[in-house]
Amino acid sequence: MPRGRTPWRFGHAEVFAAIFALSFLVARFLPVLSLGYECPAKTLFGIPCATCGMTHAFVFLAHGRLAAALGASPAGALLAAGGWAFSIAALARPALGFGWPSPGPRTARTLAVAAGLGLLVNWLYLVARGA
Amino acid sequence: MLARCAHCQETFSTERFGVQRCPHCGWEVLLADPSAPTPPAAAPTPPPAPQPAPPPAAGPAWGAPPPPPGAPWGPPPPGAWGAPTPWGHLPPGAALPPAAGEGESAPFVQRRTRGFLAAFGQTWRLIAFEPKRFFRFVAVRETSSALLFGIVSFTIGTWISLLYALLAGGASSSALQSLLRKLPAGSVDPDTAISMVQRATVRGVLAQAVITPIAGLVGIYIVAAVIHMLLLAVRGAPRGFSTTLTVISYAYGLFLLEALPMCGGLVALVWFTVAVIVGVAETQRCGMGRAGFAVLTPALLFCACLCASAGIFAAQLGKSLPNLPEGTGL
Repeated sequence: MPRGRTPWRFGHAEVFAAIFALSFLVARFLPVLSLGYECPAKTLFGIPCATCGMTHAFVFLAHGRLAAALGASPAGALLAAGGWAFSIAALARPALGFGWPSPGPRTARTLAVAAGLGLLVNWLYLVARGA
Repeated sequence: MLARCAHCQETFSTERFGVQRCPHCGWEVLLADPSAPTPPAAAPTPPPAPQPAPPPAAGPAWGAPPPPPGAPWGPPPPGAWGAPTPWGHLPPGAALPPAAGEGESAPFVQRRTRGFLAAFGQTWRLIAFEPKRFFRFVAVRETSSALLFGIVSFTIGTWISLLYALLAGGASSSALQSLLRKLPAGSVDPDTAISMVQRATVRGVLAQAVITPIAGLVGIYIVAAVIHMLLLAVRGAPRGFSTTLTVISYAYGLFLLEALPMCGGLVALVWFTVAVIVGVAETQRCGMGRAGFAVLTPALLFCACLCASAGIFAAQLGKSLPNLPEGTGL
């Protein structure tokens, strides 16, 4: 993963950073949990889906409740923490001048498979906790 | 003179103009005669004057002869692959040549010279009805134009569907009004309840209208990220994230179909899914199998949740109907 001092430009990474920053603002300041949305899979079959609890995880973490966020959805808490850290890094990048890591195809594939497996493990945890 | 085959990209020597076969692959190549008389306006526009084809590394992707700058996007002569651009009408039964080079700019990229509506319309038509051809030849590095196309289409479609929702809300508030007036006195104030519902509907629609372009942008990036991650997992993304994002952005244009009343959203979703599979397979050169896996895995999960939601709604509606008070008319 080559790193170096690179000129700042608003690219795809910055768009993702903005989306994560927006997700923090929504989770922190909007009453998203009071919308009363229930996961259809959980309501219909009694089995949570792989992304169940992610909204709760984002909201709890935005309010500083780490344990509650991890309990709601470990993958959601990790995604929120990673995404918000990424947003901070994107904000700091123009000042510090560091470049984004550019993983090779093999590393990118490994990361993608790991993300899929992580989501699967998260789902198994949610099912086991529900049972 | 030298000519280049648009099919195999090999160069060959020839002494004449007109349709001839490539000595390497047997593909038909048209070399237009520069001294041929200009046909009347109604006739198909011939390709520009031929030049000796440049070597393959520096030449255009569409074979000899190369287009002059600012060439019109008129229909090419039947069977010609040496047309100025690949977006004209194809002759019936024509086979697409393989993709080569960096691709051609979509008509929407040239909206300043061609006019916004004309460029938008032609791009939309190509994506909707000829996705294989469009995504095979489109340049995948012009992401900002693709994003603009997707966001504009999605926004217009959603705004029109919101207008329907607003009108339907007005009609349903009349039904609600008559229903509330039949409830026992003192339980609910019909005027207050109706006023609240109407205000909430208008505010909700306005709020959705304002956030629609942002939701479009966020949606395009998230869908592209999920599909690209699945493509990476099956070694199906050799051309990078920008390529996947370009495909999703152009295919998002199909959400203009949300403007159709009743079934527009569903039609748009199915059409979008098909266009993305074709687009990813063509632009990432990964084949339909990998593209189908990457696109259909989240789409099937989404459909499962959608069907489950419909089932829950129907079950809740069925439970609530017997509890309605007598004389409500339902």
